[in-house]
Amino acid sequence: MNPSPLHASAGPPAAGLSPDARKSHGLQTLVSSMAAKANLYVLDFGGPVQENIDFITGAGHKLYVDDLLYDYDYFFSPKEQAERNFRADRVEEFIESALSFDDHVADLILIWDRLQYLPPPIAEAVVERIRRILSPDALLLSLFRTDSSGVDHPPYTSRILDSQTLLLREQPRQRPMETFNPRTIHKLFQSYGEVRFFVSRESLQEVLIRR
Amino acid sequence: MTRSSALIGKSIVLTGKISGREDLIVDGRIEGDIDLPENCLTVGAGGHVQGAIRAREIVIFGAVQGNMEAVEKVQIRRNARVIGDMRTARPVIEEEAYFKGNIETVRAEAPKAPPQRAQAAEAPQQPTLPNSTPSTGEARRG
Repeated sequence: MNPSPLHASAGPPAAGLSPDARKSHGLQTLVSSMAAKANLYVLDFGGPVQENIDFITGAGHKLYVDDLLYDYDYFFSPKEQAERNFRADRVEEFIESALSFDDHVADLILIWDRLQYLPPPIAEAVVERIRRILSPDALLLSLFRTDSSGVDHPPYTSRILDSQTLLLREQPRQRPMETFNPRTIHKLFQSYGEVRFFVSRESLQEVLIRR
Repeated sequence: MTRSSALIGKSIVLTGKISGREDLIVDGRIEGDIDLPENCLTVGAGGHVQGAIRAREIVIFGAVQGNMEAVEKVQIRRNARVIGDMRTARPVIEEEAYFKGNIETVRAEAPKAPPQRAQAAEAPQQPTLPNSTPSTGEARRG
């Protein structure tokens, strides 16, 4: 049996165990911004994770859950995905189906590492739509692997263990991954007000973006 | 004491509203709302419900497209597929389940005392969801 995630975060992991739990300054900053606020509307695009549901709804907020990668797989045909050729009208249709929210409705969005697994035209359209969905000054938390090895890694399942600790576990399924560095991340969010980087281990950048 | 459950079998396709006061297991297909306010609804692995569900507890192994409200708990089990909003005291979603929608937790209802005055019936209600958020169960497609 695996040790509980909370044990993993309490100290150095035992020999042979993956040190998956980590302190997250991005999460810590995000949670601080939520302090003393109730009834926020939080969107989590990393798919349903029980710990995240408990953490957010337990704080009295309303949560919307979806996995953008599942939406992408479901919406685009295998041919479109293989050729990575996406017509503008198809991208727009995808955005309307996956992100059909009113403007300025979200107080906080967790997109985790999902942007890194969407082809650039899709990721750019998602970022632009999310900017509309976020209320003024609202925050978006995103993760990017910035190693330059060119090796693809599976997406993470991201679990909030507490207000400053994340447990990131790779999913079983490998997917093509886009390459990012701080400059390209800045460019992706150039229409936003502020982009803050938090260094994490294993070339993982936590990025907190203010609308 | 054992509790029996009503069963809608695999080959049954039912269109229309279901309401009652006993537990229900759905292994077939239902197109319509289900209202079991004091009981448990289980949607089996092969079951499919398209419509709003209200029950004391909802357990889903199969597919649901519609909004769910359960006083006690909504459990979405592994490999289930659910598109819709849920409102419950205890939302539980297992690994490898698919869920898309809003989750709003509410306190489990305490037994109600009879109203003292006519005004008691007009006591403040639970805040309603903002109109601006999408209602996934009805407006979104899967």
